[in-house]
Amino acid sequence: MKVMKFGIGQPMRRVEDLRFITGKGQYTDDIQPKRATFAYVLRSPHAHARFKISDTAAARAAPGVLLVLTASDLAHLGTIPCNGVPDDVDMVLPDYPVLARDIVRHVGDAVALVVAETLAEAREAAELLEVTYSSLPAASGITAAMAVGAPQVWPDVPGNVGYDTSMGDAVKTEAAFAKAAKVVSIDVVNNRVVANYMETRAAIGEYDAKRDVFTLTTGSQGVHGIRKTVAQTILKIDTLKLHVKTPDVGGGFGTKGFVYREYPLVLEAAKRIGRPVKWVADRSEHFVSDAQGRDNITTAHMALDARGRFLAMKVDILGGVGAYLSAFAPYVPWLGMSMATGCYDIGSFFGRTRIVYSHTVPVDAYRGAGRPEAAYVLERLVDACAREMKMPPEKIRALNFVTPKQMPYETLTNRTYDVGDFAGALKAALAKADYAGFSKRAKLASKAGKLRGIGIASYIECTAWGDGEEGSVELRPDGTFLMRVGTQSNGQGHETAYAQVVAHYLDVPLERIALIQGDSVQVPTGNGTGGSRSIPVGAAMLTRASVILVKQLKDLASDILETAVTDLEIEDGAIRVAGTDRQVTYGQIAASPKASKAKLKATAEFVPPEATYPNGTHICEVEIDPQTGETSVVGYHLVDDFGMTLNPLLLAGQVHGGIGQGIGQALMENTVFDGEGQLISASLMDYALPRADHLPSYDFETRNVPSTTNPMGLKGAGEAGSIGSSPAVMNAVIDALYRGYGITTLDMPATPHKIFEAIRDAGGYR
Amino acid sequence: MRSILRFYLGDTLHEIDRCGHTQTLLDWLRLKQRQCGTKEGCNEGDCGACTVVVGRLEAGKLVYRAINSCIVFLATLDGCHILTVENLKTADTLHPVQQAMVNLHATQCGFCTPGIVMSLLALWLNENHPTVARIEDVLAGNLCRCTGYRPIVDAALSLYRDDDRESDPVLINASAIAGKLAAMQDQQTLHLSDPEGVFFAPANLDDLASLYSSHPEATLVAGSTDVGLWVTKGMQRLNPIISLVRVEDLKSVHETEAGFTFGAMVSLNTVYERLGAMHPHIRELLRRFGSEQVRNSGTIGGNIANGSPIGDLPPLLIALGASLTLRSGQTSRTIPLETFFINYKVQDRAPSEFVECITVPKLGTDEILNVSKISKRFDEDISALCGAFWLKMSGSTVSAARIAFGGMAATPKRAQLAEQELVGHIWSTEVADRAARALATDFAPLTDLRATKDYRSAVAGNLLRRFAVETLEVHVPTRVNQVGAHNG
Repeated sequence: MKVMKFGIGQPMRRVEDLRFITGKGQYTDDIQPKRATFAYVLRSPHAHARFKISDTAAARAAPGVLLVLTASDLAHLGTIPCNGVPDDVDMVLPDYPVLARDIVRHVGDAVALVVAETLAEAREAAELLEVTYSSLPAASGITAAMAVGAPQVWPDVPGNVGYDTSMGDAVKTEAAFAKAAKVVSIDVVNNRVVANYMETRAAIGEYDAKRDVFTLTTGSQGVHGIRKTVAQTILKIDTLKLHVKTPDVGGGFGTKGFVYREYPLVLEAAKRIGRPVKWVADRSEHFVSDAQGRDNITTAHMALDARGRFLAMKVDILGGVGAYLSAFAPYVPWLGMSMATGCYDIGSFFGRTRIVYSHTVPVDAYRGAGRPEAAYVLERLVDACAREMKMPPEKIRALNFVTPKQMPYETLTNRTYDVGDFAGALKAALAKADYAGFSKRAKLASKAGKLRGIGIASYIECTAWGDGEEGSVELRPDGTFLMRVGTQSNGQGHETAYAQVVAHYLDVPLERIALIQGDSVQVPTGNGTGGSRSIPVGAAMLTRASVILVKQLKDLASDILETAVTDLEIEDGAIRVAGTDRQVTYGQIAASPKASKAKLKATAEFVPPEATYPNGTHICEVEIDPQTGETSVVGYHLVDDFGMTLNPLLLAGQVHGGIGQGIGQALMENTVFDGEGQLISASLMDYALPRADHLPSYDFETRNVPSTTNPMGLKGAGEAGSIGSSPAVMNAVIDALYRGYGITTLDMPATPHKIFEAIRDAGGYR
Repeated sequence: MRSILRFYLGDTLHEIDRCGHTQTLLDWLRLKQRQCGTKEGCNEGDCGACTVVVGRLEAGKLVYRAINSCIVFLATLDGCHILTVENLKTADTLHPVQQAMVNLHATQCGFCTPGIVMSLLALWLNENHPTVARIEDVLAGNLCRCTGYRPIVDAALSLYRDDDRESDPVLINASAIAGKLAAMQDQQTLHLSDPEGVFFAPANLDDLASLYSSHPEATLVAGSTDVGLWVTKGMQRLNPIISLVRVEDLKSVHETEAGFTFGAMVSLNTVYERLGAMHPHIRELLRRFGSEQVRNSGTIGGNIANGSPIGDLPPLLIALGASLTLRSGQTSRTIPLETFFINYKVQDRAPSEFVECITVPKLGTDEILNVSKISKRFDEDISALCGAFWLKMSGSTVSAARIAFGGMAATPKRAQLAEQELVGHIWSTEVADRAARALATDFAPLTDLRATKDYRSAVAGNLLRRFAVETLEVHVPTRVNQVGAHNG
């Protein structure tokens, strides 16, 4: 295929930047409908309590108040569904009501909605609501919830275990463990994190009584899924009676993809008062009203032969889901289990996963969703194996990798890796990181009183599985093009990336190709953004649509130019007769008499037959000051296989951002509930996010092996950075601590305090 | 009295006779002007999405600084030139800062971007060839969750590659703006009122004194980096408000051989610059004080008068032997700073008395200073405790000592028993250890979210011991910032 100036593979600057960089981005809170009213959600201060709202009259009578809603006003609404129950898992699905009824189950649980002329009036009126709580004992987190006699979150879920499922061959695995030369075991905690997109969630509800149509405007990861759930399951109306719009989105990371309570609430309120109702979360509300991420406690074991080959692996995962089941909550730990064996060819496998309720904020998919948890356990375990076997960590990896010759490779968890060269990526990453020179650097560091460590994480993840995308590309009368795609950019740059695909076939500048997304009327179908699917599915669909459109436009051009289609070529935004200057511009084609709407528009669908499997190796180098426990990331090198690169700038951006979140989780971020279930890290002051001086420069390159599951060979890249990074950082930290003090275990986040204590406990300060 | 608030937003003069007396600049921009380029990410001065650049005449010179618009009251911007991200593009040309951000792919979701552009703009307008560490300091008050920051730092560096600030549109316009701002300056007290309350901004010290005498119940507002939160988060109704922001007499710094006198309204960044030059520990303390935006708004007087037990300046200033001048009406009195703090949120300040200036002696050649701030995170965090130690030496003997801590008691407080253990003794690690143990009698700290009482006690002693190590065994590295953790 000819290289187009604006096309696939080019480092194009983003077309959306002009909007963002000048303050013209339109996020939900930037939209102010005429006659807008403002909603405030009253939330529970208790983690677990029985409550009664004895009086709403004072609030209803307060200045500016238009509406007060409590659970008793919403009996006609359905509950928030959970759509993420893994196949073969049989479980009770507890009610997730739009407003809590009688019992609150986590701090921040929604109790009432107050709508007023101004937000200040709504807030003040909410304080007039007489809510009597009688507090109940709370199970604060996984461990407390699993204790004997722990307070129950749901009466029909004994022991707070939502499901208990397994995968693999228990008998064969036990047999392999019995004859193993060595068994290595680890316990790890994957700390609970908070997404903290810079744009908090917001929603605007409107109701057109004449047409009996609701409109919901919200920063989401896809309008169609939200439309279906809110319309069919909660409001119990026809899907077409709800129009969902998503303007610019200030970060999502998985967590903005779900239906949250405020969405049906603002719609119900808008219908009742006949005016638009706007709700915007403040930052503290973000911490208690949005699903959180990760929160696993895992035990893992590896059986090895004397050479260091992995004979069998066992994992036992406890996945915290919080008090209510958010959209995909049960699926996330299961998905992690299904990726437990990672890049390695292991003789047998057995995994057990239980999800655990507690009186805490719900947990759901967050950048990587299960796959970072899996990679974290596995890569920590592999490093532990290397230490126990006294083998270099790169050697034990190389020895056990699935090889390219084994592709396509059936995993013991029922997946099929299509392609991949894990050893190749590792080797390239080792070279980039000057792994061989590490011991010299460690010696120099040691002379300066520092502990230097290096950590490898070879990961594989699955992206872009399941549903497809149907969309279109059309030529408009002015000669510009319009794409309609049902995915949703949250900042990744889809307007640019998708336009590059179309430009590749039609050879027009990106500015002449517009994207319509985030509108359930203008884009008829879609499955949103999540699981790194937008590029591998959306771009693959656009490839098909572009090819079809090229054919249709050439047919029209052939008529106009009176030349056979085979003699036509696309060049510089026009179709011309090859080797001549006879051409017809896209504008002229659009204006030609035969150019019907149907001929100017191509619709296509792409449904991925299997997931894609991006993979690679991250190598992190850290220096720890044993006097303070402070860790600095002093080197970060990685080699990734993303199948093919659509835009290297955007790709690097995704990778860097993901690593930033992984480093944040590994070194500082932590969600802390106290024994009573109070969230004590509920502001940007108390929840540590990485700042500019925490994050290193990254040395990133691709070593692509095209995927065979989509026509472009793409593999999703949105989550990979966050998957490889936290194990690479922690392996480096533990490597440093092991060299200095023989320390082999430490949980994230590796704060100075925790490292200091680990060194002290290891006798390091005698 | 003048009852019209006047300022420039971009090229437009705004004359406003009606605005909420505690309305923030951010709310005014977003709700009243519907200029939504400036974002709200946290509404408490942590995330920087709301950063704007404000130009003020400082001693007649127009100076642009980045501030958080979410906690600054609109009415305090009388006579200023406000720039938001929407004011930078001219015709079809992006501002160089914007162009650099595009070139380096330094924006993803775009939500933090306006604030980051404005932080970098202020840096670009004021500083030549900043180091990476300096850029990171400037960005400490701007959170980004998408990019991993590197492209943003790279964008900042790239600006200086073909450093043609001469053609920067903001600077080209600056002298015209300076003229307009100068023309707006007057000596009339700004007086605004709305149903919720009254706002005064006197233009000189005498007017301030008489106004406060007639309204002793008023809340005095300096940089509003704390008072802003009382309103936006605490939902307090403050009425009336007297803003000190226009009182030029309170903004001067007088330097003599003996020391500095800072007017109460001198910004923390100016204190950083002036006092920081005296000692690296002062520099370090102020570098970590809030963020660039907070230091630009916050003032030395506000940090003291607020009386917070964890304010970071009082321990340092007490250790340096600073004195405080308070004024009421036409009467002034000067007291040692340490006597100002009486109890939790109780200060030695009579009704209608305000902080006029702070006098800080310079360090003599026979004096040693040592300062430590302990917080959970390096940047923009509240201290768990903050210790400042000052010794006057006679040869190797301590002839006088001042030890002050924040976070160890209900007020910033001196450790008199520990001081007694030092005075008259040869300065040694043993003597420091004795003094460190005496701290247990000086202080009975509390446990809170920042630290336990045991931790505070242990660390306070250790900071004193470290002081000894740092002065007596200078080759031992003792500080995080000495080890390259923050790119130095």
